[in-house]
This record gives sequence, C-alpha cells and structure tokens, in this order.
Amino acid sequence: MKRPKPLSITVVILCTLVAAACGQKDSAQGKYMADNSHSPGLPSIVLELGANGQGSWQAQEDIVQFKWDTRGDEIFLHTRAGGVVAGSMKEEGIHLALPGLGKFVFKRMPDTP
Amino acid sequence: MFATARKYLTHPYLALLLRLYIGGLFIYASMYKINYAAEFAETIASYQIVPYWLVNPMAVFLPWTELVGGLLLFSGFRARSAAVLIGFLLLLFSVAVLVNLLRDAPISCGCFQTLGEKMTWKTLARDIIWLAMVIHVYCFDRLFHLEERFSLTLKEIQT
Amino acid sequence: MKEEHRNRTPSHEVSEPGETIRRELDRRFFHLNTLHTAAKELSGVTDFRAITETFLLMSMGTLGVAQGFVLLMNPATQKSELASRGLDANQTALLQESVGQVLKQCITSLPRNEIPFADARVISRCENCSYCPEGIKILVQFDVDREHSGVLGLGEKLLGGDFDECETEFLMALTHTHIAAMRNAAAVSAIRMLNADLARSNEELVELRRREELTRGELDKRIFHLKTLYDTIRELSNRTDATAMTEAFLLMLSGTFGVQDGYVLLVNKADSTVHVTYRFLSGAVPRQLGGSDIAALVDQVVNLADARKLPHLDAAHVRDRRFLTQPLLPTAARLGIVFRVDDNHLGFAGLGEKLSGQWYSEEEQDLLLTLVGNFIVCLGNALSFEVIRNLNVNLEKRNVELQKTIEDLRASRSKIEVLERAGMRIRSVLEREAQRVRRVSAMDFVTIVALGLILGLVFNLANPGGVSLIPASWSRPASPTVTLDELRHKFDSGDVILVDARPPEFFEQRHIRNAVNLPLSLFDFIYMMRFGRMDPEKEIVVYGRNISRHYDEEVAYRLTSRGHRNVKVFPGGLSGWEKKGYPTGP
Repeated sequence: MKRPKPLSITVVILCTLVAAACGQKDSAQGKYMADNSHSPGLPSIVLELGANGQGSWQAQEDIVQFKWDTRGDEIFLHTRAGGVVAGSMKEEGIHLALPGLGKFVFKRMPDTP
Repeated sequence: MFATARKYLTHPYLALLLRLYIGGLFIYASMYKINYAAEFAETIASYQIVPYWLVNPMAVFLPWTELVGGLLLFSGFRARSAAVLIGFLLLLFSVAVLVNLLRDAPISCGCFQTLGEKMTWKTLARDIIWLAMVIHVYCFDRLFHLEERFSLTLKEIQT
Repeated sequence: MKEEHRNRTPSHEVSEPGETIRRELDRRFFHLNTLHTAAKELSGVTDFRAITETFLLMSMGTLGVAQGFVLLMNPATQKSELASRGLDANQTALLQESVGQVLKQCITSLPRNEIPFADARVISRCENCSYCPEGIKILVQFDVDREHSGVLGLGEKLLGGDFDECETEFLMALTHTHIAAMRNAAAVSAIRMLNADLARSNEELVELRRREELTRGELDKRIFHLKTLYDTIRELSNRTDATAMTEAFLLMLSGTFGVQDGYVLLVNKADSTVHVTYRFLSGAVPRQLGGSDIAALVDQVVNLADARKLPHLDAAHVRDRRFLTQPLLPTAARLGIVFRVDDNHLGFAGLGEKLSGQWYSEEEQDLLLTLVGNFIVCLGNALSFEVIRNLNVNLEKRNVELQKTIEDLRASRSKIEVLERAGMRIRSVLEREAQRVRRVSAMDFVTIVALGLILGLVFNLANPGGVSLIPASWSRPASPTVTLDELRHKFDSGDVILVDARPPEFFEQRHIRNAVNLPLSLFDFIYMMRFGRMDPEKEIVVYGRNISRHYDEEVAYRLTSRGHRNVKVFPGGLSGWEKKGYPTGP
C-alpha cells in the first residue's frame, strides 16, 4: 500500500491557506481618508494600506503603524499592542469602528490608483 | 446492529479522518496566534486565569506548542503523544471557557482569531466534542503514521 | 630214383646170406642216402607244411607205403594240420575229427618243458587202433617243440610184410631229421619274424624321431609365443598410460614379427577422436588427417567392429585389402586387426610388410590376434585406470571444493550468526520502537513543550511584532496611586478624567460612571483620536486590572510617556468601586 506523505500534505494545505489569506489584499491596497463630517471635533484621518500588510493611521501629525489583513469583506487592523480594529469593506469605502469613538468611513483617495 | 455501529465508530479510517481534522485544526489555529502573538496575549489576559507575568510567555509558547502538536498529529509522528498533548490543551481551553462562562465574562473565544465568535456554551460544547475526537484518535488511530515505517519494516522482518 | 630204389629192394630179400648182407647193406645205403637227401632237401625249406609233405613223401617212398599221414598238432591250442597220401576223404575227416583222441592216446605225457632235442618213438603197431584209418600199420609220435607235436602214420608196405627193425630205425632217423628240419624251420621263421619285427621297430623309431622333431619345433614356437605373450603382458601391465602402452605394444609387435611399418589407431567413439601411434622404420611419413577425415575414420573403424559383432575386449582380423590400403589410414597395411575395448573405445592395428619379406604364417596371425587380445585387456585396464584416476582427480578437486565450501559455509555461518545477532538487535530495537510508537511517553511531552518553547522564543526574538516576555512594569517605577476614598472625592468634584484601561468588551459590560475607555490594545488609536489635544496637566486616574493584566499600570505609563504629568492609578479597580456601591455605567 502506498502511503501518502502527511508532511507533504501539510505543506500543500499550508500553502493553500497562505495563498487564500493573501488573495484579497491587493484590491484593498491604497490610501483612504475618513469623512468626519458628522463629528466635527475629530481630526481628519488618512489611512494608508500598504503592501506586505503594513499600514499607517495618520491624524494631523500623529501617525500609528499597524499591520492589516482581510478576510472576505472584513478588514482587520492589528496594533502592535495586541489590539484589533475590525472593519468592513463596502462600495463607498471602508467602515471602521473604534471603541468609544464610533464609526469611520474611509474613502479611497482619488490621487491614488 | 450494535456491532456494525461499533465497527464503524471504531474504524481506523474514522480515527484517521479525525486525526487529520484535529491536526489541521490546531495547525490552522496556531497560525494566527503565532503571527499576532500580542493579540493572543491579550486573549489570554482576557480569560483572567493566568498570572500576569506568565501571559506573554504563554502567548509566545502556546501557539508553537499547538503547531508542533498539530503537525505531529497530522503527520502521525508520535501521534498518540501529540493526541494526549492536544487533548490536554483542549481540556485546558474547555476549563478556561467554562470558568469564563460561569463568570459571564464578555470575551470572545480567541480560538482562531482575536475577534472571533463570542464565547458561548456552544464554544464549550465544541471544545468538548473536539476533546472526544482526540480521545477517539488516541484509542483507535493506527493508519498512515509516519512512524509506521518502522512497524511495517518490523512486520516484513518478522514474516 | 626213389621209386627205383624201392622197387629194387624187395627183389634182394629172398637171396642168399651174402646176397642178403649185400642187400641189407644196399638197403642201409639206400636208407642213408635217403636220409642224406632228406636232410639236404629239408634244410632249405622253412615252411612247416612243405617240410611235413616232404617228410611224408620221403618216408612213404623209401619204405614203399601206399597210405600215410602226418598230423601236426599244437597241444596248447589243439590246432591241427593234416598231410596225407593215399587216404580217402572219410579217413581224413575221421582223422581230423579225432585229433583229441589222437592227442590223448599218442602224445606222451612228458612235461612240456622237458622236451629233448629230438624225441620220437614208435608208439604202436596200430593193430587195433580205433581212430586210425583202416590200413595204418605204424604210428610214430614226435615232439618238435612246445607248440608242435605230431604223429606219423604209415600204411601197409606195398611189398607186404611188417616193418622190420631197420625200417623202423630208418623211420626214427627220418623222423629225427624231420624234427630237426622242423626246428630249423621254426628257428628260421623265428629269426625272420624277429627281423621283420626289428625292421618294423626301426621304422617306428624313425617315425617317432620325425614326430619328435615336429613336436619340438611346435614346442619351440609355442614357447616363443608364450614368451612373447608373457613379455607383452609384463610389459603392458606395468603401464597405466594408454599412449605409452600403445607405443610399447607397437614396439613389441615390430620386434616380434620383424615388421617395417606398424601403427595402432585408438578410436574414441564418444569424442570422435583418433589417437595414432606409429612406428615406421621405412622412413615413411604418416598421412595427416583433417577433422572430417577423422570423423570418417572413426565411422569406418566403428563399422568394422560392428560388422564383426565384436564383443567387448575382443579383436578380429581384417583381411579386406581395400580397407587396409585406403588413404585414411596412416600407411598401407598388410595385416589388420580391429579391436574393441568397450562401447566407446575401439582400435585398429595395422602391420606392414615383414623385414624378411615373408608373408605372415597362420601361427603368426594367431599370435598377433592373441597379442592384440592381451593388449586390449591391458588397454581396457589402463582406460579403467585412467577413468579411475580421472575420478580420483575429480574427487580430489571435489574434496578441495567441498573443503572450500565448508569453509565458506563456516564463514557464512559465522556471518549469519553475526547478522542474526544484528537482526535480533534490530528486531528488538524495532519492537521497542513499535512499542514506543504506541506508547505515550513523558519524553514526548517534554520534547514537544521544549520545541514549542524554543521555536516560540526564537520566533518572538526575530519577529519585530514580538512581545516582551518580562512584564514591563517590573523595570520601571510604579505609578502613583489613589485610594478609593480619594477617587470618590475626585469623582464627585469632577476634576478628574477616569480612564478605563480594560478591553472594550469589559468596559461596555460595566464601568465606573463617566469613565472613558482607553483600552491598552488600542491605546495609540484611541489616544490619538481622543487625548491628543488634552491638557497634559489634567489629572488622569487609570483603573482596570486583573490577575492576568495590569492594564492600569500600562496605560498610565503610556500616558505619562506621552507627556501627561498627573497620571495616577486606582488599583482597586471597578470591583473595589462597586463594592462600595458607587455609581457605575453604562
């Protein structure tokens, strides 16, 4: 009886998983800006989703680095401290919610491809 | 009929299937945790069981243990030991979940992703089912072991 | 003349005394004369019958008797012979019949070995003789020798009258003369017989001599043959090599028969080979044979033997001149012998002309056959010996091989033992391994845990997003704290910003009223959005900790490091607050 190699099967499965995880990243890449018209006290925020899962959150002069990834329509921003900001990608842009701050809608900035 | 059911329930192929499932599950589960160790540390912290000085080391160590155990179980190398280890982990998780359910802690399970499903009694049931699967694997699994190379060779020598 | 004498005698009887004396003298003279004549006559005669006849006639003639007989007898054999004159057939027959009686009556009973030189006597006047023929007047019995006795019977004188003394005397003298003559004749005949015997003996002797010569020649030849055979056997039986034996045999053949050229072919039917041994004194060169020639020669020799139905170890002459002179043979032969040793080994011996130029005699041919017979016996022995030697060699080889095999086997056995031991060890290792596979060992857990630990540590070190393994709060001074009462006071005055550092879920579940959620995990985001433009002098009290995390300490530290100078920690947390029943949210 020919025995399949469990290790090779594992490798194949892992590769498939990684490939699936990376699949939708490309489409989400780019620069976004939050429309904060509904809450005038908040500064405008520029969200940049770069390649390699790196991203930045910029408000005025402050900038926060994070890693991001997507799962289906959802997008997750992972902070270095271990926090996760979950959002969803919709037609009008990316909806993100910060605890205590409510929802932000980020729209793709026109000067970016 | 009972015998037939017993036969199918204890069939090695079923055990193999379960072994691959549990192994794959643990490998999959470990991936995210390895990648985002800080988030897993927060998850552990949210369970409020482990002392604060042990949370981060555990977040570093536990996913790799899961990965190693999952790989061993999946590949069938020291599968029974891996099954025992994974069963132990599952038992640990189940107890943790039970404790937090009893505490009515508003946390998510954190089993796969940080922001996964909320922890409910279903989570506990699922964990217990997985634990049963692992016990099944421990008891009946014997096919497609990487180590069987030896036992097969042994059979060949003995014949 | 005798008749004249007889006739004259009676006439003188009746004369005067002077006349009578003269007549007597005449008669005596006449008698003497007769005796002399008789002696003369009888001396040359050797035949008994002729002597007897003469004796009878002389006695009858001289005495003037008409009838007379002489009966000769052999007393031992009772054979009789009768000579008679003047007797009729009846009388002779009677005489011959009554020989026995005559013998009984007449022949003296003298012992046979004491017969005198000459013995005769008048046995009767035969007056009343029953068996004598009628008219017989006188009987004279005489013995010659042991085999011959006889009776003379005379009849009546023609002149009549009895036989007087003078006549009887004369008769006795005549009888003696007769006896002498008979004895003489017997002697002569004896001598003659002796002579004849001698001559015959001589002839036989000569014949014997001739035969002896022949026999001796034969014997010599036989001795020579036997010697040759003996030599052959002695010469050949010493040799065990077929080739050497053949050479020796050929040499012997040449010597024995004085042959110029000779050869012996040894044919092996199985191999289809021919071994040629030759000895050519004539200087001839034997023909060389090719492969097909050899095969043909083998066939021919085999056919020769088969045609003669030769049994094993037998030989036969080949007289076919066409075969003997055919070109396949080494040289033309005069005499050929085909022989068979066994089914496979046959041969052919050919002899050329003799040095003497003579043809081979029958004996020589026979000798040749016998020699070849001996040769093939020896050859058979040699071949058997060769077979045995080959077998021995093979056996020796086998033995060596066997020895080697045994050694190999021994080596193999030790190797096998080593291998078996190794196999046992491997098996036990494998068995142990197999058991180990099924067994759950503490070592496995240690290994897995250690592996997880090492991998985790290494990965965490290498990962820029890694976490600190030692709580950061240990390495920095503790933040200032407030007590519950102080906090309550500050809460009531409203001068303080209460920060809930716990994760949002906990905050949302319950928190101190008016507290702001600044979860540690999202500190950067929330701070940026909410505390970025806050007055750094404003008093901030952070709360929220549990067994696993001191959120308050961490957040307080971060706030401090962001420039807030009045940050304090409330270690009591929500639970402490709640115990007092102070107001909570949401």
